[in-house]
Amino acid sequence: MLDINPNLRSRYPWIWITISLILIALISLLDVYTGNEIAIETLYLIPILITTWWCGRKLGLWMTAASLASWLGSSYPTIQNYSHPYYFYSEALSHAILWTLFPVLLAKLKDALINANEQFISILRQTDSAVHVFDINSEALLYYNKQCQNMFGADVQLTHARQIDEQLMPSPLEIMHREELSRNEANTITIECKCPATNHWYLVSVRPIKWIGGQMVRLNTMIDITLQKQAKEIIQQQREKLDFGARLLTLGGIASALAHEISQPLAAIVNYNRGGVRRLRSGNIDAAMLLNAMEKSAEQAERAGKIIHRARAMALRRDPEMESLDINEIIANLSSMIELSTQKHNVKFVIALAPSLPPVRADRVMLEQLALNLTRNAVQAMQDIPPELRVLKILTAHDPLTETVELQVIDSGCGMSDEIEKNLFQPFLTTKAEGLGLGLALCRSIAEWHKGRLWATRNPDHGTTFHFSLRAENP
Amino acid sequence: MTDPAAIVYIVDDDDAFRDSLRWLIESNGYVVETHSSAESFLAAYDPHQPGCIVLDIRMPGMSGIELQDELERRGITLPIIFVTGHGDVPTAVAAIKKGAAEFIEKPFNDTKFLAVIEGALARDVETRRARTRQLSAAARVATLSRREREVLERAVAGKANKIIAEDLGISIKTVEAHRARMMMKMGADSIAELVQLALDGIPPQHR
Repeated sequence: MLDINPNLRSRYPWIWITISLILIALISLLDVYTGNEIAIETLYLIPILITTWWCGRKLGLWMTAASLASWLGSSYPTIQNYSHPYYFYSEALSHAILWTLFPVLLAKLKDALINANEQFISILRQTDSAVHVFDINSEALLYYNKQCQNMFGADVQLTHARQIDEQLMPSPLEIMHREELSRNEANTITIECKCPATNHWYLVSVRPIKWIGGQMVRLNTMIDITLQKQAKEIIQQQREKLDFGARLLTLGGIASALAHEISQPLAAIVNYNRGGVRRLRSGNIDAAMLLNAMEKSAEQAERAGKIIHRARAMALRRDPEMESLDINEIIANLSSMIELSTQKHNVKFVIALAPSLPPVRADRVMLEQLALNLTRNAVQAMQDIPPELRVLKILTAHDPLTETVELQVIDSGCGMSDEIEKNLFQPFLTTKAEGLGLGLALCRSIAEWHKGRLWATRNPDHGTTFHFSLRAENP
Repeated sequence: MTDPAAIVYIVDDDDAFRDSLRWLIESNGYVVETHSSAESFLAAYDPHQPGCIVLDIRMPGMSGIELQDELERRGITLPIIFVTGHGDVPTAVAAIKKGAAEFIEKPFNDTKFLAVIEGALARDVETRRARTRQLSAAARVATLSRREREVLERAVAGKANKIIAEDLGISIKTVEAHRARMMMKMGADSIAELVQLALDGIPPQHR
């Protein structure tokens, strides 16, 4: 694994020590050569600071000692007789303090820097995303974290940006290479892409940042979103399946298309008849012509019949698939979809499933359709009551006596009037402005088709409960 | 009127419906011509032929609404009766707002439908008559000399010969002569008739 050295220490400390020692020697020579006339001692700070920066505080302090020794060695022989006797010692003391203070402070500063870097690196290490760092100019791979290995396997040796880019990205990354990214740190690009090698989906974001040591780098972070993608796809598929089922089963679409298709031959029939009646009334009639019109009228009636036949065939195109189903599982699968609508309408949604249910033999799509229709009805029944009172409850139960499984959809709406209750399952009767009045009629058809029962009861407090019961499958 | 007999044009892509409409409309003694598309109607239609169109709003190719636009662009004022199916009401309303004659939802009541056709044909006859009057009056105005035209404008404005003479700086005698010739050319016997002719002869937007 490529890694970074967060403490910024040199890998070759002896080079810096040697340079520092040479510098000290040169300075002391210079000192002697200039006859100690020029205050040159400040220059000793240079080797001290160099060593401290690259090799740490300890070696820096040793360098301080070496500098002091060198200074003493070069200055002691030339102590001026006419100066104060303590002058030399006080100068030595002040140098000693200054040259000790500097490496100590510099080391502290460096520690703080290292700390910040270490924190940054530990974040990169611990994050769930795979992180790559590339030099923005040379495209060389500077760093990658452990998640990269987990994602792509330890054996994948990736040393160059393009290898990863090519492995991961389709075309979008081409567009936003160096030039696009430029040096603007705010320029983050996030894309979703699929890696053909691993067949996984990744959310990749790329941004330029300033790296440890100050160079500009490109930071790629990748999150594996394959699971989310799959979940989304499954939801989408399920929705499509339900839509498909709804299209076939609710008859809503069929009814509308049928109305349009069938109005054509019906209008023609009316025209032929009215035209005939008018001619007969006026006495201006030719038997052959009338015969022709009546033939055509009959043809149109047959055409209408064919349209209806076709519609019915379309509705039955999907053969029901009977399988062993757990109603609890069906409700659990639908719950996220139901929640969408309850949240939208500010309805509290409660599920109370029986601990275990015997399986029933049924068609999954039909049962899903039934459950969804009932919940949709329940949610709509609560539109006119205050949001805090809206509660939708779905519960399942098993009656061992009758060997039936029951599903209840309970709303807290205003309940049904006698009139509504009487016509509850009548097709084309609706209390909704945009409804076709087919929902409950369809639910009942589904129930009957499964040899089950669907009925409604009034709740003791308020609202309505729809019950759907089905015989448990014989073991 | 020497106009040819009015024709009821039916433009509808549904063969059976088109045929049944012909049967119904012919039962009232109208002459019917059918077209299965807007394009075929446009190709065949002679603008001098009076009548009306029974038009399906929804058709493959050029729709009823598009045909309406095209007729307007060509300056054809043939009244249109839109026949709509269920659910076309918003489109039909839009068509009406654009100046369509009528729209009728199918299946429809035959008495009402035939009455609508009757009304549309009558309106077309009226429109054509007005246009003919307009054209002939305009043609007559065109034969006038500049002086006669000036006299016409002032006579229509109700000015007496004396005033006209003063206006134009000519003698009353000359005005009388111009006036007589102008009345003759316009074929008008009275000032009231002349006013009507002048109104017809000048296109509405210039009034």
